[in-house]
Amino acid sequence: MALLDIRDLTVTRPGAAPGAPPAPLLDGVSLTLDRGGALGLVGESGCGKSLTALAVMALLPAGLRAGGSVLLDGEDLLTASERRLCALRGRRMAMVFQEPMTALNPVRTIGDQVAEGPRHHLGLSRRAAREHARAVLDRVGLDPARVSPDSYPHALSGGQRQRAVIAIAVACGPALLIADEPTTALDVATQARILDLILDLVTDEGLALLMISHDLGVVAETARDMAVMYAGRIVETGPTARVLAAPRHPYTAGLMAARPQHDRGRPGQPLAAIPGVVPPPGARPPGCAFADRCARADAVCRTRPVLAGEPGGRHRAACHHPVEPPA
Amino acid sequence: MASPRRLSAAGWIGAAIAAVVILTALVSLVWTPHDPTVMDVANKLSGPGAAHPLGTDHFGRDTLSQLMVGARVSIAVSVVAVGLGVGLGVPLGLLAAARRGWIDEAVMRFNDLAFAFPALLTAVLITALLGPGAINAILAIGLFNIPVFARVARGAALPLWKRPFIQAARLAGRGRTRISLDHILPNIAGTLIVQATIQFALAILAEAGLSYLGLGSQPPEVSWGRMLNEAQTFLFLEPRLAVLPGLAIVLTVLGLNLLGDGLRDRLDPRLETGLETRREGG
Amino acid sequence: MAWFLVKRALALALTLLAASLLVFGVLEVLPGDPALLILGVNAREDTLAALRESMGLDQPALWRYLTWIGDLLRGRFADSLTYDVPVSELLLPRLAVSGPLALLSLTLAVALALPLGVLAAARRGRITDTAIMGASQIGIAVPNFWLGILLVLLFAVSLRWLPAGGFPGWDAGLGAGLAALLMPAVALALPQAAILTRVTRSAVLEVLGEDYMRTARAKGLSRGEALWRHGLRNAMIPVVTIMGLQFSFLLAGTIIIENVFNLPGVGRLVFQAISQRDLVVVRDVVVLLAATVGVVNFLVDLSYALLDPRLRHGAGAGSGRHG
Repeated sequence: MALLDIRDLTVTRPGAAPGAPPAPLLDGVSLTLDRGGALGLVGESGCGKSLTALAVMALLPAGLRAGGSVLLDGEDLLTASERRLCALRGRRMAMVFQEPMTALNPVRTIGDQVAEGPRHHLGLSRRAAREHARAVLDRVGLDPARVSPDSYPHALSGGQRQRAVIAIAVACGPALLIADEPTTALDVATQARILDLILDLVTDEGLALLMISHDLGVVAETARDMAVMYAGRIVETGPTARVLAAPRHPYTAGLMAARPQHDRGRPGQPLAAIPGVVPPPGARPPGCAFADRCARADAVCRTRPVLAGEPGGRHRAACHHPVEPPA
Repeated sequence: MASPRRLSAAGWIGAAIAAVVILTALVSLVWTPHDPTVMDVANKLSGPGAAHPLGTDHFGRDTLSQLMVGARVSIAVSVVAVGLGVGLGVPLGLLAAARRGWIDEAVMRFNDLAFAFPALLTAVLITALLGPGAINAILAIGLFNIPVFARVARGAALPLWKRPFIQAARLAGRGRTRISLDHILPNIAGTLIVQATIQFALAILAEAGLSYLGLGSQPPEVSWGRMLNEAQTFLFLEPRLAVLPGLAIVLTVLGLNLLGDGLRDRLDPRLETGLETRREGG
Repeated sequence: MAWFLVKRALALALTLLAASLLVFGVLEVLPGDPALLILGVNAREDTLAALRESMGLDQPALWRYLTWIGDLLRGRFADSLTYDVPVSELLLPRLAVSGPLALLSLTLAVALALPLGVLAAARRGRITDTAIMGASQIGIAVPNFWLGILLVLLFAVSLRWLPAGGFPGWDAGLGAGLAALLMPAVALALPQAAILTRVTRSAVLEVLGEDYMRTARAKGLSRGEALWRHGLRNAMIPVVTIMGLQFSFLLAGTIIIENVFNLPGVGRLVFQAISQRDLVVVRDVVVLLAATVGVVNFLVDLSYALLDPRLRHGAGAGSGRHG
């Protein structure tokens, strides 16, 4: 059984006016992640990556409704009681957020904030939790001898804060770690170090990682499997190496063409951009949501919904006219 | 969810209440059921009836007529006082935002000083100096309003100075004063209107307080605060006289606050509820 | 931290200096002849001359100001013109009434407003929130002195549970003293509580949207635990600001409420001094009140440093301080 099994997850926002149909923000998202596995989720901002993560943590913003199922160890999180969810969050599943500047409480010390989870979940005494927090902080590269656990977040650099956020997430030894753009807010040198830390933790502790990023490079480095999201739907899934080597969905191909490459193209040459914009929720066409921006689209694409393939293992694309792999 | 372009239901209720009070005040200029100052000792402290819908006071004066005239006094004092605050405070705030530097510092320190003196204390000082009366009440309440509007105008104007269209006007060589008047003022008008509504409500409360203490309008002038002052003597005998003017005050202030909150949602999305000081930075 | 303290202390000293200059200017320089202001235009010339002599009005204004402030700083108060005793002797027994009254009403207001504001924020958009916000909207509109009158009507006239006014003195026992202060304190507190409830609600709502609240929830804290452990302290920063401002309103409110309930407090002393044109009392008490407000706001600044480590460590990050 997979550790995390997301089946046909739908998140809707109630209609703006009474009687208006609810706008789907996520539409039939299915993903699986095995124990100890690593899955990358890529897409442009606003495609629903973070929303998927929040839906898994059952921390969706107020007013949004989730449908389908999210199974963690076979237990459906969408129907679980709030009490049960509180027992799971931080203990079985944990999350690292994008903004280390705001993800930490400015008026509590980092040691305090790391110790809170262990006190809560592991029933540690105040003193034991403190010791535990020191060990965890040391593990994530915040040596208590150099960075005091009694520091407040404002005294730390961006990278150090993100380490503290990671420490909070892994403090209780979760089975699933969701990292939502964990390096986006950091400078390039720090990005690499934080990614290394996450990979270390994943290997050492046997965590399953759901890595969310708009950066194909980050996903290539961290995840064995990947899924590409567009306008609230999964458009392509498969082993990372194969998807990147031969993308089958025109959107994935477009994303890759839009990347700056050091080995290809001349300096000064403009990067390829995908024309057009993502259709907003509620205005998505009945057919493929990417059709309006796709060079390969025809009448079928605009009217007939594409079936997303079953997730897992195999390389699949939700496309009527997938890109053929080069011979 | 109410659309931001429309006034909320509460806002409409507030507008309706304010309109009724203002209308009553206007009507009292030309007509009241009785002359509010004419005494009729034979009918003193009579309960509500056909001749006197809301009864009479200890001198036999008609309570309804007094309430109507009281509305006029409350509104007149508050309008002039808030006008004083707007007239002096807004230019000060605009100046501070336009010039920054020591002028800004001076205006803000003056503000802090003014806030160290509660309005009522200022009023007390002024009456100590000039003696009680409606004019002095206006002066006292108006003085307290100056720093409020200076602060609000400055706070709203400061971020505007960083906006591209203002920068463009600066580059085009327009002077700071012209820019303040032509571009800044129209853009902060919504915020100022909202604040004026709230201050109007506060002024009604302050005027009532001063008149109640005998520091505001003097007899034979009628005002809600004075009515309460006089009614307290007859509290055991005739509670009605103490309840009615208070209700008039509460209703008026409530209406203005509801209207202010409604306008705020519509005109100034940055602020959430009334009566709180905006945080800067953070 | 030290620098922050020094800056705030300097600001306090400057405000006090300006306040004292203002009071002195308004009462003793602007009128031209304070003696004439005190005794009125119909006073006889020899009485005026005597008063001028006793007030030292033949001295230059600056000298009189310096003497006044110097004496005040050493705790020496001039004699009241009507009572012929030092102002301090008038002040102390009245402070014993007004001080507890202000403290009691501030406590009531905070005890009422904080839970209600937090509750309203936690139940945002639901019936509890609407009810609390509606009640606070009415609370803000009620003049405190009218509320006092209504309380007298209910508890003194109809129910006869509490005295309608007056103060028996603390010699009559703590219970009797508190009983006399209860209604005035409630009348002062409720309108302030209404404002504070709204401030608390919006501060808590703002904090609820912060990223670190989501971090706390992701740790496994329940909504309530996250609010209690991570939200409140952050939400307190704007709330404390307003509490500081409200204290000055409370002091001013005592002037009016002490008149409603006939309490022998500082507010009533000022009020009487004004009607008796006892400028010496007015001058000293007003400066004292302004100083109290200044000190309270200084304490509010200190409490920011307790609440916000960024200030404590001189990170210079923008604080919640307005203005």
